[in-house]
Amino acid sequence: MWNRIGRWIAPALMALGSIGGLAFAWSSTLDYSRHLDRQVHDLRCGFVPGLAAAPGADEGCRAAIYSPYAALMRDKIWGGVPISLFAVGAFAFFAAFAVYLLLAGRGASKYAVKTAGFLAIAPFIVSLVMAYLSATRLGMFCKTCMGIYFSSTALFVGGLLGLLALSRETSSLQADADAGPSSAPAPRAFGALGLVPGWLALLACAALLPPVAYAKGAPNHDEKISSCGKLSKPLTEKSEAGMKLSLTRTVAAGSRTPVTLMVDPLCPSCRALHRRLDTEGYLEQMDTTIVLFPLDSSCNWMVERDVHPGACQVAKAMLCAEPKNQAVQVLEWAYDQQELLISTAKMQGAKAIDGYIEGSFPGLAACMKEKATTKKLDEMLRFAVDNRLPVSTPQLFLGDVHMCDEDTDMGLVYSLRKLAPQLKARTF
Amino acid sequence: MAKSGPIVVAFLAGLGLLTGATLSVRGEVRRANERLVSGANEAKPEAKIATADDAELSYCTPEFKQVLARVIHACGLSGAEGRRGCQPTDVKTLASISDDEFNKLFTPLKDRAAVILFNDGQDTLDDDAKKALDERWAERKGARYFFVVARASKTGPVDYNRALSHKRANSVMFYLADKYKDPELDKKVGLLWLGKEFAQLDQEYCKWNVTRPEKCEAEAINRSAFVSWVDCRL
Repeated sequence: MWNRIGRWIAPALMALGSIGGLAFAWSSTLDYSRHLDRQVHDLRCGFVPGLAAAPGADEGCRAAIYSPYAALMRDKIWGGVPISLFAVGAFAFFAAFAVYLLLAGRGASKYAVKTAGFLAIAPFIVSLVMAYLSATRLGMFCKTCMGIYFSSTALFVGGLLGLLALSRETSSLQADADAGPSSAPAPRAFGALGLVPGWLALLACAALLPPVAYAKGAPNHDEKISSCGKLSKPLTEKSEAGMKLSLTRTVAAGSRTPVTLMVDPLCPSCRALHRRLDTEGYLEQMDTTIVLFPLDSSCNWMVERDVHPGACQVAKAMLCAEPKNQAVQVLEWAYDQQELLISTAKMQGAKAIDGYIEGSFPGLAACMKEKATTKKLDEMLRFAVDNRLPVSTPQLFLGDVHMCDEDTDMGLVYSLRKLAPQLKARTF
Repeated sequence: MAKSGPIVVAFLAGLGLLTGATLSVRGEVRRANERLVSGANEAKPEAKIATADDAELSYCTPEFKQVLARVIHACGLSGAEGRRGCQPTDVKTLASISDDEFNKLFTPLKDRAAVILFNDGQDTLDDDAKKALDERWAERKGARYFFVVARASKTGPVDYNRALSHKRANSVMFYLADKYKDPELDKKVGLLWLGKEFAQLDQEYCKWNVTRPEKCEAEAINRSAFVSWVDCRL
């Protein structure tokens, strides 16, 4: 049985894993590349590489491609170089190696089988690390990424089986040799040890070729980054249109960069941006002023249909929170409970959210109904009118410079380096 | 198969896969670059994002806007000119509107507005008037303009009443300026003074949000300043 495993099953499994990994990595890279035009596209997020995801089913993949773990050199190239590109090259190398093992059979040297087996551990380890990050940092898995994890596992298992089969083959040949002359097949050649560095070099070249080609062709976004204008009426110290809030528990030493964030507490994109800024280590370097802009027609006259019903109540809860830093807790709570709050508001009406607010932050109800609170919120909404801003959230302003919406996800690190070089991304 | 056969086949297979994948990614990057430069939209069409603006409610009819525009552009609301406010003849001549039609324009503002009553021959705001003004001023919501339409009762000569209604409009303006110190007040508040000669109110308006309901009658309702935010764009 081990003969058959070593001869066919192990290399076939390696080939299958490599081709699968290549297909998933390639599909993921194409999705990534398509976004270099600064538009939002559908993702091919599924277990069949290349097949478009059903509407709304690409949340995991979108979280993955916008995450700091999706790309390298993000401060040098807009969007960085997707790590899936390295996988494309590596899997192509492993596919070739598996084809060689399949065709060569016992003609493949011991070093070749061992090299394949040991090298196959690398993509498996990388997959384990990425899966861990997905689970712990992103809180969700992207199907395309999972395809790569499964493929890496198949490749690893194939390599492991190859190593085990080789070990059995060696010990059985040894036993045959000890028993005296027989018709057993000739032992497998060791091969040239010098080929091992050559294979490693080939793997390195294969893994690096696609990223290099990508980086050389990546478009220049510099002109676009600074094309979203400035605030004509920035917030002043006396202005009631903003809330100065410390959004992190840790504060970086030295001067902090003044930033205005226009957000809706029930807007998923706002939550995503907030978390990206936090994960990247930017929030602690920012002197943040929050402008609330609920996309909810019950308080916002600019919204024709309720995009996020109930957002007005959460915004008012933030304005009523005392001490002031409790407003951050309300915001974080709203971000954490966003799905529950949105679905409750949609099913039971926006007023149903009041109960959740009262449950988590008792004592705000009376203040939330006061005219003064409504007036404060109106002042924030007027900030958008006075500056002729788009009716959308989130919006980020560095001083009075409006950061383009398109630069707040994949291109965040690069764009911030261009617009506010003093802000440093956390290294991972 | 010759000993080198599997190596050659595997190498070519690997090279083919690598080259194919790399070229297709390069192609996608190139196309993205072309879209970036040309501005072509390949993504699913999204609803055009509106620009934040003042409120525009259903009562902002063309006729209403005509009066509004008259006040804003021709009567010095921008604050650039030395003169401020509209006189009765301005409204009559340029808005081409009858008294009743003019008053009807403001009917939708019944719940948003307040009618501040003054003593006979006086232009001083009492405490109730100040309170009503504060309340109305705080209820801005998405409105761009704050209208003050001052009147005078039929008693007395035309010129006297014209001047008196002007003073009443100014009283409101000065109170707002003193209290709120808004540097852009001039661009927000539109003043009209109508004296006794145009668009007098009838007693029905005593049912509105008036400051002295107990003293409100046909003459008293015109010793007044109507104040309201107006949710219209121009």
